[in-house]
Amino acid sequence: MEKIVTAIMPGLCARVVVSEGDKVAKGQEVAVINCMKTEISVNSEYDGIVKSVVSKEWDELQVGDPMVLLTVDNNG
Amino acid sequence: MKNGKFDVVLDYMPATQGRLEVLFRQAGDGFLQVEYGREQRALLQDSFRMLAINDRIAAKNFNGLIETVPGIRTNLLHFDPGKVTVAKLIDMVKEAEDSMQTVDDVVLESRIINLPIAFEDSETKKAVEKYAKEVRSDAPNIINGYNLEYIALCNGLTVKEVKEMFLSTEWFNSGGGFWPGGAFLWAMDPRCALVVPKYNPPRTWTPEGAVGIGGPCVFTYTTPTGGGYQLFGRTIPVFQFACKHPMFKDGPFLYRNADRVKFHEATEKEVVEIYKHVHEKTDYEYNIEKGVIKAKDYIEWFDSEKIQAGIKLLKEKQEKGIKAAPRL
Amino acid sequence: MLKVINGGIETLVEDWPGRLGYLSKGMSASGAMDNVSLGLANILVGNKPGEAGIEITGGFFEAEFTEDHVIAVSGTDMQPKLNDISIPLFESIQVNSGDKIQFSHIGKVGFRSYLAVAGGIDVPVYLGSKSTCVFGSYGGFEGRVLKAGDEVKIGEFSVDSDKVVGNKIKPDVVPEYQNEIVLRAMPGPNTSPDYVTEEGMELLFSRTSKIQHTSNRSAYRMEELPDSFYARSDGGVGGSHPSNIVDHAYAIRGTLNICGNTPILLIADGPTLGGYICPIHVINADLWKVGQGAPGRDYFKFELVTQEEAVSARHTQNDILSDRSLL
Repeated sequence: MEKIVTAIMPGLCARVVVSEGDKVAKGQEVAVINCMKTEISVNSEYDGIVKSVVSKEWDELQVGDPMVLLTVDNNG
Repeated sequence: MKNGKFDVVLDYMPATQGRLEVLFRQAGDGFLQVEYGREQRALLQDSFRMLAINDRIAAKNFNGLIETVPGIRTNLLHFDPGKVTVAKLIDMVKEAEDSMQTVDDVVLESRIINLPIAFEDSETKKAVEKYAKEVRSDAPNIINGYNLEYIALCNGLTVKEVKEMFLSTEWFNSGGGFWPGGAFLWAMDPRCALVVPKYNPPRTWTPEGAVGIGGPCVFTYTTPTGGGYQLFGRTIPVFQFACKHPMFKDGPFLYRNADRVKFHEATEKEVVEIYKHVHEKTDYEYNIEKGVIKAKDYIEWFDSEKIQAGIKLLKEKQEKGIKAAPRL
Repeated sequence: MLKVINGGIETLVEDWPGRLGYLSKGMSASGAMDNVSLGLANILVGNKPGEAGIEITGGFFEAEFTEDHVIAVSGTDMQPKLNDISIPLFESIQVNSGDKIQFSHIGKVGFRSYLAVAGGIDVPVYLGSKSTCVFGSYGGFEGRVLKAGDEVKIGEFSVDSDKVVGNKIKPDVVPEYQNEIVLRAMPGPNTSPDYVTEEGMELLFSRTSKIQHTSNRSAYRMEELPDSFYARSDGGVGGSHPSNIVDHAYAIRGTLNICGNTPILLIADGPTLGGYICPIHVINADLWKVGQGAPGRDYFKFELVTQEEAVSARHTQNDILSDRSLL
C-alpha cells in the first residue's frame, strides 16, 4: 500500500535525503524544508520503502504537498 | 507646509547660529523621529548637541514618553499615544531645543571607560580561522591569518601605525543599538578615524569581548555572535546577562550614551584573567572616570589648522589605501 | 507544570507588550506575534491579557500537564487535542494532571496558536518582561524555543477554577484570518519627496505582496520593489544604494525597512538600528495580523491611515482585550 510523506510547513524544499529504493523507518528524516530561515525536518510517519521522490530542491511547498511516496506493508 | 500626500514632516524649527534645522518626522503611531538638518552626514559635533538635548528630554520624565533612541543625526522618540499627543511631544522637544541656544550651552556628561585590549589574541584569531575554514576560504581581508594587515592596507598605513592610532584616540559612543548592550564608537580624534569595509559575507561566530571596526565605527562584542567587523583583538566583558557583578546590578549594560572608551594595550593573559573576575568572582573594578565634553572646545580644536592638516594627511593615505586594497 | 513532549516547529514563552524601553540598548520589545489571540486566551482563563502564554508557530507542539489547570487555546486552528480528543478554540477548559495536549499542523489560514494557562507561565521577569527574544537568546524559558523534556512552571492562580471553566469568546470578537492580510499603515519617516517617489509610495499602498519564506520573528520580507521606487540615485554618505541612509533607530515594532529593493517589516525581535530607509509603519493595533501571516503562503497589503485612526484602533483593541469579550 502507498503512503505519502507531505510537507508540514510552507517554505522551500531544502533537500530530500532519501532516494528511490531506500528503506525508511517511522520517525526517520526524509526531507528538509527551509522556512523562517530555519531548516525543518520532515519525518516519515511509516516504515516503508521509497517508491519515488516527488519534491526537488527549491520547490515551493505548501502544507500537505507530497514530498516522498512510500510503499508500506499492509500491517506497517 | 505639507509637500504632497506622503509628506511626514509634521513640524520644524528653522536653523539658527547654534543648531541645524530640526525636522519632526512622523515615524508610526507611537514613534516620532527628530532629525537634525537635511544633509546625510555623520559628525560628532551633531551628536554632542543631540545627546545633550536628549539628556534634557530624559530629565523631564515626560508622561507617555517610553524611551528615546539616538542615532548619529536623528533621535527616535517612542511614546504611548494613549497618554500623550504628538503635538505635545513636539512642544516638549521644542522647549528643550530652545533651552540650548548657542554652542556654548552644549556641555555633555561623558564618562571615560578605560579598557585593556590584547591585539590579535587567540580567541579572535579562532574566529578568523573558523571563518576561513567554514565561510570563505579566499577572504582577502584575512592576511597572515588575521584582519589587522587588511585594516592597515585599507587606510594606507602600517599595522604599527594602526595600533598607535587606535590606542591614542578616545572612542565616542553616539548611541547604542543593533545588538544587546552594543555601542557604536567613533574616533574623537579625526586624525585617527580609521575606515574599513565590513566582512562579506559576515562571520557566524565572534567571541565575547572581540573588538572590531566596520566603516568608521568600532564595536566591542557584548556576547558571542556573528558579525562583520574587522578584528583588532579582545577586550574585557562590557555586558553581563546575569547582572551579577555590581557594575551590572541595574541592568546588563556597561555603556551609556556619550561614553568615551579609551583602550590600552595588555597581554592576552591579563585580559583573560579579568573575565573570571567579572563573571565569576564579580570583584573586578572597572576603571571609569567622570567627565564632560564641551562642544565649543571640541569644534575649535577640530577646526584648527593642525588638526585639519592631520585629517587631510590621513584622507590622502586612505584614498590610496582603499584603491590598493582588495575588494571584499 | 507543563512537561514538553515535542517542542514543535517554534514554540516560545511570550507576553505583551513585551520588553519596552531598551531599544537604545539594542534590545527589541519581542512579545507575542499575535497579541490579540494571546490576550483573548488569557482573558478566558482569568489572567490579565498581557500575561505570558505559549506561542506555537507552525504547529506540532505536545505537552503533558502535571497538575490540574484551566487552559484556553486561541489563534489559528492546529486541530488541538487533549488525550486524542479535539478541544475547542477560544474557550476555557479544565485539564487534569496527566492530560496530554497535542497540536497538529497549520490549516489554510493563520500561522500561530496560543496556549494560556490560568496563573500564567512562570518564567523569570527579565528587564520587565517574560518574553523570549530568540534572536538574542534571552528572556522567556532559558532564552530559547521549548524542546522535549523542558519543564515549564505555571504561576499561582487565586480564582476558583469553576468560575473560569467554560468561558467563551463572543463570536463577533473571534478574529478571522485571511490569506490576503490588510495591514493599516502610516507613512514615515522616509517618504516622498525626499527619499521615495510619490508613485513609489502609491505603489507601496496599492500592491499585494507575498510574504517570503525567509520571514521570522525578527523580520517579514516581501517581494522586491522596482528601482523607480526611489527618488534618489544613492544614499550619499549613508551608502551607495538609494535605500541607504546614515544609521538611524528603527521604529520597532512595525516599521517597514527597505533593504536594497526588498521591503522588510521589522517586528518582535527585529534590529533596533541600521542604515536603511523606512517609508511606512504598520500601526500597533494591526501587528497581530502580521503574526498570523504564514511565510511562503500569505500576502500583505498596506492601507493608508492617519494617526487619529491608529489611536482609535488602539482603543478598540483595548476594549476587545477585556472581559467584555466573554460570552
